[in-house]
Amino acid sequence: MEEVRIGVFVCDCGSNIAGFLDVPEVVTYARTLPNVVFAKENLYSCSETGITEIKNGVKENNLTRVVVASCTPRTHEPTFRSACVEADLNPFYFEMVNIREHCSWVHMQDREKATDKAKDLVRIGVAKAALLEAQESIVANVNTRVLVIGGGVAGLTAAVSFSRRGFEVVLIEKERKPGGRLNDLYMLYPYNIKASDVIEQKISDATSSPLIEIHTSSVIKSVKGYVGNYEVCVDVDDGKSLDISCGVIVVATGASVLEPWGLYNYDGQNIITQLELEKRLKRGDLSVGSIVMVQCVGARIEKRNYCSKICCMTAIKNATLIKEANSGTNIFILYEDIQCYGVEGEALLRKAKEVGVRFVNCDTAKPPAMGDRSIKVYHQALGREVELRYDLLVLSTPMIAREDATALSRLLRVPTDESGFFLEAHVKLRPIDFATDGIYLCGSAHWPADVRESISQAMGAVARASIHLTRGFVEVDPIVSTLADEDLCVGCGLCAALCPYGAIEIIETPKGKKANMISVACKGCGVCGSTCYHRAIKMNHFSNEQISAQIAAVAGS
Amino acid sequence: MQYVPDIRTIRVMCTGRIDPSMILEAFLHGVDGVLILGCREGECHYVTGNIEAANKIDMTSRLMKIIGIDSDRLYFGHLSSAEGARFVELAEGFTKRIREIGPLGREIKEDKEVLKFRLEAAKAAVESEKLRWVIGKKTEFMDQGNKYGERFTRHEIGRLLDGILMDEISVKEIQLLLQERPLSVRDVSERIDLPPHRVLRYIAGLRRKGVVRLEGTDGVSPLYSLQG
Ligand code: SF4
Ligand code: SF4
Repeated sequence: MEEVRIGVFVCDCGSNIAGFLDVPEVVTYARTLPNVVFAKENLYSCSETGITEIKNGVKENNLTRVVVASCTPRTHEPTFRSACVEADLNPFYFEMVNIREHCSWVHMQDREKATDKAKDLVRIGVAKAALLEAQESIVANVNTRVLVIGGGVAGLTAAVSFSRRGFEVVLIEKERKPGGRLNDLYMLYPYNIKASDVIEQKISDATSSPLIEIHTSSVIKSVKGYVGNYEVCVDVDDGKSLDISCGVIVVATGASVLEPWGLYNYDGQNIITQLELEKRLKRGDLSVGSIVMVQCVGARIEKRNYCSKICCMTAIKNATLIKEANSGTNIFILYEDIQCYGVEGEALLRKAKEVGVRFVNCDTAKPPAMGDRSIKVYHQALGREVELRYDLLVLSTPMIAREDATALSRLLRVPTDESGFFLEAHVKLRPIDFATDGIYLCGSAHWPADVRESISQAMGAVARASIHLTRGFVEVDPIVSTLADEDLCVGCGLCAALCPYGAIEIIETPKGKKANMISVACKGCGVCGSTCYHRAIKMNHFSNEQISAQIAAVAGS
Repeated sequence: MQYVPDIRTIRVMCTGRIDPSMILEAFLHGVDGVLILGCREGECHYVTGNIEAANKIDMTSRLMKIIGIDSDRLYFGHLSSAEGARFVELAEGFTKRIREIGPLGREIKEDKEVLKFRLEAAKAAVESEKLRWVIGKKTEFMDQGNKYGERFTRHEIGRLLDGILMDEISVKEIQLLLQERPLSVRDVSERIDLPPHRVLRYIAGLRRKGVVRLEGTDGVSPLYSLQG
């Protein structure tokens, strides 16, 4: 067994630490701790002088472990790890103790107690340091083929962008032809571009690319693997199944539109959804005298409490188009709130008013009531009920998560939110990533998105995914779980069931079923390690022994 | 921002790393309270780490109640790393509560040995396979139901857990006692304050598993001891 020789460096941080606790006393105390052979005060441990002092300390005293008691690991842990490396020590032979944010800064009025606490914290750090083990970073190759799930505007955009970067793409579409929702739409706001022009261009770009392979009428059956190395099995058109190896996956499965059966006497004939109106406009067979549109049908209610965000603009656009084609048509839009964000949105709303579309602000407490070919509504501005006759009643219903989204989310082991839409890793910091590395998200599968948003998200997802693809390998911190004792593992699968990242699989081995840790996919959370009742799992750098030693050190022993 | 200097910290990657036995270990070492701080509910940096932690911590505090330790000594607080003020609030609140309860063991007015005995039994009990599966599958049982499609309410799961905890702790206490020397059912019953018929049932179970064997008699009562 090698001798453990710990060096402790206590930082003054100028007066940030030394001003509020007795650093020399902490240094003297550190010298009394087991395995500590050297302790020193630094004016600024992180400065060039400080780093040199640490490196010299290691060399002159043959230190095998280094403890720095200073600030938060968030800022300087990498700095000190590099110093260890320069002094020929493994970077994981380093332990950081925070006596600034956790001590001097927060106990400024009590120098004595702050000093005591700093001593305790150093003792806890030293206890762990004695048990530190060398670690090596984990690297895996990345397969540069890409899987895109969904052949709508988002999926096609992603596929084409990947191919332009030179990556091979397999695109899986559930329907018989690609194009998604845009196949049904007429004109796209804000500039009234024909949906068919946009989508036909995308389809032709994708089909003409030699790098893109499109499978229609196809459904994902199983997903295995991790970033860089996914194995996906797909049921394809002709009843056969197809195995796809890929490095990254983009989810672009879109959303459905609510059919409001049971609301406003919806019948799909004279009472239709905004989507059905688009289809009629596209066919060009619309001639009616009066149209009433109702916003937020089945949306922003208790069961579906979100705003679908695109329906207001769709209604405004359709109403304006109809009015411009035939100024004799009467159009009313009944709304509670209007969502027309963006510069163009506001302009379109103004234009709709100019061409004579009438907006009626309803009161949530007094919802419209159906009459015979008419709808009665309390007009807030007039302060009384009005009855509006219609030939066509158009209901603006929200986009809703696809029914099969949950099944797909389980296969991919990525989460959905309470409305069933796919959930990103972080709302602001990682809006198009999933928490699981190597899987990305774009378009309405995430949240109702219009065409522009879907396209930008798709391009963003491609950019994010390309980080792995262009690097060609993934490197992860070695703070991961390992199956330390294969014989202890009984292959029960509880760890695999609880791992948030699908980083554990149960495999058949000559010794029976065993857990297999996929290190590149593991994030080191430790859920598996704290779950295994056979103690077969070891968490690198946060082992049971290390934590136990720290617990004992808290109590002073 | 200032707060009481009474807290000592141990860093883990995620609250999901915390094994119930670590909490009991801390009490065995004599700490007066264990404050576990992690991400806000639904915002866990490790997706579901803090949910798993919550299940384990809830189980541990149930166990503490059973062995007579004030479960306020264990608290799971949620905050984001940007919420310094909340940290202070939690640290202060917890410390205040612990000061009210007093040093560990005060609530059971019993000597250090009893406290240690119970904590050791508790620490052994949380290694139970059955317990680990129930807490591991708790979220799933509540959200989706078990393999028979039965969904459990929080209350039902709690009752189920308490039942298993009672069994496991009793079994471990019996094992600890028998480790010292051979005892009769009546001896055990008196020592751990459990009706003889329950003790007998647990001992029968332990004998079936080959953990306990018959070791002579004391008058007419059989004596039991741990298997080699
Ligand atoms: S490592 Fe532990 S929890 Fe995982 S399968 Fe093996 S025995 Fe079960
Ligand atoms: S440490 Fe966390 S991410 Fe890694 S295998 Fe265990 S449960 Fe999964």
